[in-house]
Amino acid sequence: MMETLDMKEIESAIEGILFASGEPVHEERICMALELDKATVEQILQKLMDYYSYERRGIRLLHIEDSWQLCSAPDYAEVIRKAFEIRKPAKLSQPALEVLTIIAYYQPTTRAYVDQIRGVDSAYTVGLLLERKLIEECGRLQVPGRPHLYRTTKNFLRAFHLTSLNDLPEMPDLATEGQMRIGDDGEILDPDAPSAEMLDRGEPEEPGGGQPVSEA
Amino acid sequence: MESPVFKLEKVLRTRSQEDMQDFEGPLDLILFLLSKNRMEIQDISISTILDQYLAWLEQRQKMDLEIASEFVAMASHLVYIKTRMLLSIEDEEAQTEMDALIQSLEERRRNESYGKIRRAVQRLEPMGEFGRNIEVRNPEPIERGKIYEYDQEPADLVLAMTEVESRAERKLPPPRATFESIVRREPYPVESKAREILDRLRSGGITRFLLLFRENRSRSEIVATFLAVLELCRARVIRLAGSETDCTVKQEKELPDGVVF
Repeated sequence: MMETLDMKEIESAIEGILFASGEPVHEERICMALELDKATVEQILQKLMDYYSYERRGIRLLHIEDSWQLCSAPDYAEVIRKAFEIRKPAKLSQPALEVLTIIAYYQPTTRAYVDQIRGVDSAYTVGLLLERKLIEECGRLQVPGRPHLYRTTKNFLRAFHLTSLNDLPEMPDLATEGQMRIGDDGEILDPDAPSAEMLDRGEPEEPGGGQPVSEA
Repeated sequence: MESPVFKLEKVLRTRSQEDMQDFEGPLDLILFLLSKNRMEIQDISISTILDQYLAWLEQRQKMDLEIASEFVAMASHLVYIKTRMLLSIEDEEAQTEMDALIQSLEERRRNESYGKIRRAVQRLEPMGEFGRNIEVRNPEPIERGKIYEYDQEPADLVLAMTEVESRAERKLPPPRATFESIVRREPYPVESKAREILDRLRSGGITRFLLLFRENRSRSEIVATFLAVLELCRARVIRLAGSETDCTVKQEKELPDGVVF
């Protein structure tokens, strides 16, 4: 039997559930415990999240795929570490970041593919990332040799403050970014530089493919 | 500022805003043309690519822009490949040239990918700082209470008892008699077959696998012989060698005591 709780109490109840869990709690669990629908629960969780960060509380709420988790506020990282005399965890090396990025954008993918892009043997680095639980095995590719496939984990999402893989920054496209172009009449179009005329007239700078620099 | 001039349709099919890109090198141009034509590097059609490549060069020429010599060199290289292919489809040298071109393109594309990855790393790296600054808790082990907390009706006990009784009917294993129609005592014990085989090997030395079955009169006997061979192999007492059609059997060692068949 479930007494009806008012909004404030529901918020606090969810807070309690999240705290008791420690690890990420799936939305479904909260829905079931409070007998509420998913949309309502998500709304309340979002409200909690905003509250913690707006009030600059010591805890923050993370949204990782369909789960939610409390964590300590990064703003207070230093003093928290001081309280327990612990050190900041080491950051990932360049090779580790490269391998992780390749897997993040091309997952699921094999170690051989990673090697191919980097041009070097990445076995050690892949092992390292597995240990740190930033990537995990997810089956095998059905070709001779049946190599392992890898993908990123929820830990990865948390470490990079992403809610899902959709939040990964768009892969920069080398071919067109910052490229100077030649327009129809042979004039040079530089997407990065505002034209002199535009600045004179006070017009806003156009992103990419802007106005000609000189009259044709 | 004059209003933009809208151009009429151009003569060349390939005319589009995108074509007016600058390319770092001829390989980039070719890769671009391939993607525009939705072709894989492996499926490169020398005719299509050559035509479009030359069209691009001509455009630049029309604009009085300097064409880097490497672009011209690549053009002539493509023409060379095409010519040889036209002269003879099985031209090996032309094929080697194509392979070299394909390899260069693939390497170029890999480098492009690597370049993209490195730029992506630059974007991703600062985001990783977040993870270094937060702490999360592991779940506390939840103790389940030992006291029984549920409500139950007395009638539930009766139901439970009925369930137990119905199961008790099947509490003993079924009697052997029920299986007699399915499984009978083996007329040919595997063990004696095994000894037979070993006797044979001892007197005859090496023998053919199929010969072991020659005198078998019934299917049960064949099965027994076969099982005996398997058991002896497992115990490493005999060794099978050769091929499917020509298999020999040889004794490796004595039958150890206490081998169970």
